[in-house]
Amino acid sequence: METALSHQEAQDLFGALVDMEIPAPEEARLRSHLSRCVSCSQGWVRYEATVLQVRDLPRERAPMSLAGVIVRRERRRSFSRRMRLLQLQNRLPVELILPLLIAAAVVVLMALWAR
Amino acid sequence: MSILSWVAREDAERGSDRALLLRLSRRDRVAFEELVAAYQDRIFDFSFRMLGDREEALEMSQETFTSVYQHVARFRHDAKLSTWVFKIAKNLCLNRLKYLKRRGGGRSDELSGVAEAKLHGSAEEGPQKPDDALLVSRERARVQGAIALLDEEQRVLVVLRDIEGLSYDEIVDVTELPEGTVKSRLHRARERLGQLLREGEG
Repeated sequence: METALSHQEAQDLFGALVDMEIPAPEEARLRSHLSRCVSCSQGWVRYEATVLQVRDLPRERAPMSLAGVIVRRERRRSFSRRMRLLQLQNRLPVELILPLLIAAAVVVLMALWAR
Repeated sequence: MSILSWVAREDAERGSDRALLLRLSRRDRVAFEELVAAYQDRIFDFSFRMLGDREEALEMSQETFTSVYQHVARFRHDAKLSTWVFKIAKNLCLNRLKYLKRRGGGRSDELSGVAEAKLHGSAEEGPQKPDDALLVSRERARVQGAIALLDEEQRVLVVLRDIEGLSYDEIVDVTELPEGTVKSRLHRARERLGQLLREGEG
């Protein structure tokens, strides 16, 4: 024979009961406890009412413009990313320019010295 | 729903997720538009429930989709696209709440003030009329006010489970908490919410 649930055990099962995720034998034990315990029975009524009130809230719909705003924003971002990339590609780094300038200066000096 | 049809639905969902992700990783703009169209209402609603403010929710929804698009390469392919999108939205909303709290004296105070007012039915809603629609709208505002007074972690769980209708497996993916922890914290959050609603009645 199964033991009866304590008040705490019964209350801990409210979540599973309201989510309909309680195994049948547990549910039977809980229902049996609730039929005999006024305090837990009232607790269950309050618990269920709270959850149903929350589940009854209507869903807030996104404004019609949201998708357009997000897509435009992402387009702007990817455009500026591409532009930055383009600028970087077109810009010669100092590490490259400096040796080229030095080499050019050496060539000019050598040409002048040869004369 | 039988277990077979559930498995078939999950497989179909993952299949279409994979196709969409592949297109997103190729920077396909149409795929991005499809992603936004598919999730915008859920993410906006989630952000609104978390932040209690439409403007903030709008901003967080935009941030969420931009972040998804930018970080699509980081997506773990054993996860579900929907839970990944919710995880990003959840992190952004929690960061935003932290920022608002840190800033202090700003919008966070305004928001919690509005939540208190809503809970006690004193938020601005026009003149009182014995009108069913008005009563329903007041009651909903009161519930939203109570949700806004939960602490952030509790709010995430209540919103994901009881408003967005995610399964426990999905909530585990979004929150990275063990299932037992999710269940016990959600249970406490619902009890706290009930307490707040009863206090608001008094």
